[in-house]
Amino acid sequence: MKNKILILLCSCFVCCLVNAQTYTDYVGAGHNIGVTVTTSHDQNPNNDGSTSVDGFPVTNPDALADASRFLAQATLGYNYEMIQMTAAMGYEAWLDEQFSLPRLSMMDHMLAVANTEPEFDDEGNITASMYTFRSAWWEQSMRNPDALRHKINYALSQIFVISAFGSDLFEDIGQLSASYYDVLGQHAFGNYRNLLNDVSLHPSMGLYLNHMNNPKSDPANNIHPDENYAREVMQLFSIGLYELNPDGTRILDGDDNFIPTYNNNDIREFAKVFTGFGDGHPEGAWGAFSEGNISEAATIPMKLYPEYHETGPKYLLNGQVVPAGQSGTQDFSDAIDNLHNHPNIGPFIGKAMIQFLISSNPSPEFVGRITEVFNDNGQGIRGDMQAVVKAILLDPEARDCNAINQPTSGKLREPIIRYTNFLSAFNVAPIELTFNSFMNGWHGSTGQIPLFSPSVFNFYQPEFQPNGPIASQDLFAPVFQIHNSSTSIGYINKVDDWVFRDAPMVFEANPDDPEEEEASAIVDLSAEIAIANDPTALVDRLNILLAAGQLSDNTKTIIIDAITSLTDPAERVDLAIYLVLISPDYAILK
Amino acid sequence: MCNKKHKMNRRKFLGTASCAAIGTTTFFSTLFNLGMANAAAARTAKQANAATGNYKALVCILLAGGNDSFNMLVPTENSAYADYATTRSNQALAQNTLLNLTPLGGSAPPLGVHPAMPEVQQLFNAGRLSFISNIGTLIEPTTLAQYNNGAVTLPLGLFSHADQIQQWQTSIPQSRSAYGWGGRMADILQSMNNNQNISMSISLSGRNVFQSGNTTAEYTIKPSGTGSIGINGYDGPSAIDQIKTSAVSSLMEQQYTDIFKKTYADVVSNAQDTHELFSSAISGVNLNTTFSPSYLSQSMNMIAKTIAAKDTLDVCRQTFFVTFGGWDHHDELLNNQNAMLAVVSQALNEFNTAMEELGLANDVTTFTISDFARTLTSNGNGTDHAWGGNVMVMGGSVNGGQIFGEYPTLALDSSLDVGNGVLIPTTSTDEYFAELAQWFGVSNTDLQNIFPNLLNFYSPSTSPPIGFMQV
Repeated sequence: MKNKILILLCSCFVCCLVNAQTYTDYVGAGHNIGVTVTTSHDQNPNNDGSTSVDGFPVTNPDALADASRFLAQATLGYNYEMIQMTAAMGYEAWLDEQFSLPRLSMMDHMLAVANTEPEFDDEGNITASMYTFRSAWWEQSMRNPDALRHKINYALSQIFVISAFGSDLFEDIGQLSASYYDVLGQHAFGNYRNLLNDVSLHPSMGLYLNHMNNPKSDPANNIHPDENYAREVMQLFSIGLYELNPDGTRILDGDDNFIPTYNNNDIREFAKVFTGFGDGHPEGAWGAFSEGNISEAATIPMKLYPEYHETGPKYLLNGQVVPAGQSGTQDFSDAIDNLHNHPNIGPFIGKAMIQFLISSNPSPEFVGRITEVFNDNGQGIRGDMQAVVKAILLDPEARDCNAINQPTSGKLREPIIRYTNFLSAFNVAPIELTFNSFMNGWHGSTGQIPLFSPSVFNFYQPEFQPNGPIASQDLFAPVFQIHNSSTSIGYINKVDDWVFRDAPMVFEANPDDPEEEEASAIVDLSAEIAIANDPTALVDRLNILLAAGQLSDNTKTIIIDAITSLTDPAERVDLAIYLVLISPDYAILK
Repeated sequence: MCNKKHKMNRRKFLGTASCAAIGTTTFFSTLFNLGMANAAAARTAKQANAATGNYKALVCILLAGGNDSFNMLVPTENSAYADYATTRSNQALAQNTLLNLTPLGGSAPPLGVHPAMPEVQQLFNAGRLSFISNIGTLIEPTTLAQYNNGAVTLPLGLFSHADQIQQWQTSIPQSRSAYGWGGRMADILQSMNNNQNISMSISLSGRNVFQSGNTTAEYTIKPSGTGSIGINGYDGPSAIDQIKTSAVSSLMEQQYTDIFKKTYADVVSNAQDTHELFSSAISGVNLNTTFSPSYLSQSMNMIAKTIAAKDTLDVCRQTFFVTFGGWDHHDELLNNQNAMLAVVSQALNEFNTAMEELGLANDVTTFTISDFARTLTSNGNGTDHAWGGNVMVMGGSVNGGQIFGEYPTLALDSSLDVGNGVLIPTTSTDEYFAELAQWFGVSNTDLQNIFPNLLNFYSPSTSPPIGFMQV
């Protein structure tokens, strides 16, 4: 089926190997957005209709709209050139190229940002805070060519949640966020088992869910091991609350009840496994977290302090028993294997990824196909995330254009992804050397910033049901949990700032005062202004560029009528972008 | 035509929903069919209430994450304190730091509140506040034997945040319902308000389960400014504002068959319309009570202002919802709770002062909920997820200065201890919420529709389930 779709797509256009040059530098190199740029690519968007060698650019609007839809699912943002390129390459080739791109480290980005206007700690080291991390997130998202990895990296950060919310330590030590984000990115196309392993040993997770410096039990004093990580690693990061069929539906017992995957005793057993882990820094010690070298310690996996590890057997899931007397690291490894081999993992993680990329309500068949790939990538390997990502994005249910007209398909685009869509579409560039934005105002308006959710339950939950037609049909719409009377208008007013106030990104000199801000980036609207004398052409371009071709005729008419009554080309463009970005046809990605 | 005021259509909102609902009854649970049928009865009550100026508000404070409420309300008598101290080990508070409560009635053992809560101590001793003890999610009364041998149906996902926080808002622990009891109440009572253009349910913390009803949804405001926000330049004087306004309004008013687009547009339309009403009402409020800078206090300040604007808003029933998160103290319990309970205590006191200033203390009842209490035993530097715990209810109509429910023994291996000092609740959330709903004006018939498990704990009559509200 996958092949068929690709053939269909390719049969319309000249498929050719792209001789791609990939820019891998990132800071101050003078490249606007680090997309892959081909040697044969005509980069002047005003010449869309012209012919060129190698079949570029693609001009068929349906093909471009389809490619835009694919990129909206597969990336955090893209521009017109990327749409043309992807349409020409075909999606599988695009994915394969993406998988081959080198990963660029968030930590490097963060240090580059920190170096532009360095602040020093007492020992003369350059410091980086949570705010530096946020600026680095823009560097990572806006400049790098590995757009797919960023999308997966970001999705994983909403499954394996840590958050700086309410934590002075995370606010002060940006490395806690950057290093953790890198671990997610490092395994984005790797194996789930390694991902779970490294997440579980990361000091940021140890701090966030409290299994760092978690001692063995002390029965005489009624002290038991901390259960927090044991519970959430099962509930949120691996198997979920109920036994699942491979298609993601819940298994029912004889009385039609759901079957819990674990009980409180299981949690206590896993809690014993997660004892004895502490600071991994060579100079670290049990019970503390390298106060002197904390920004360094933030990047080093936790290590075992054997005397604090619970001895004795541990009873894991599905009858597996960890014998007494094993090393703590072996206990840990066995427990990760126990979870990794649980039949729930495929449907649980697969469905979560589908919800982040494609649709809030995937069919059981879709989930089932992804579970199959998770369980075996075709070469007998379980947990191959690259295969899972590819299977999701190329699945018939993701690619089928008929889904666009089904009233229950698709999802509400996340607020922050609406933002990255806008910035990428118009080739945002920082005014200074690096992107700089603390995003406090954005957070106040929409509630969504990477690694800053209010709890380990992310910004929203996979089974959230807003009242009205979604709940009454018993369907899910996770992102609607942060779409309320305050955030829905907050977002609209942010779009207003981007276009009418020419402030697509702001730097808050004082992080405590979101009002005290100045524009820190600019977008390039020249291609749009150049065609603004033709309102229909302008709206058609924005429809492809932003809305994946999904604006209805009514919506287009409303926007065309509105901008036609203006005469200034720049005003027309501003208003058109504003209306597209706030329209329901854009906000919902079908 | 030129001066046409752009009003977005309020399509899927209350009042008119009764007709729409009849056509789609298959989508709704029995619960809601019954609720909808009773809306007419509530309408009759509306005139009577409006005539007497009867206003009532419920304020729900969610302490999200699981407040360790056996360190909020602690035994002070020596032997009971000794049990507490032994069980809680290094997470116990020192006996001489506890703030003694002087009960005005009832037969509770001597108790004190956490040292960070002097305001709560005063509110209790002044008869403005009471505690309900060892309360939690239950489907039916449950003993330790029944818990162990599976003889009763237990709440889904016990000890899990997501489930327990939801069930404290739905009071239906056997299912994952999207509808909260505040929303189910609003479905029935919203029609009491003369002004049908603003939701009865006001949230300071965004979407929430508590206020999510079938035909009603929360209206979200912020603690700052006039609470609500509107679209910049909407209906502004400039030509481009007018063009923009007209286009935005057209985009949101399209008839979307797509359920996601419709939901997106409805939220925006409602938000903009309500903002126009709301902000002008709030800007006319003058409240002298000073509130602390904490987010919770500022939220309570905005709730107080909204209540002060009740006549301008022309409403006689409102619920408010605010979340104060960060109570999942697996680590650093003592330090964190010390800081956070102080915030709660101050906010409650300030809000009580504001209600007294407005002369509305008898008409507004504030109550707390939380995911669960925490293990009585320590995990070294904190505590883990448990079950039954203690809550607070405050207001002039509360039978204050009392401990309701049964304060349990805190010795391990008691008849309520399922392990590690996880206590089976002896009072259900149904009893707690049904009493609040009764006070709010819900009939005994509707109570059973709103709380489907209620009959397992209470036979509706003229005497309330627990007795913490003045009848």
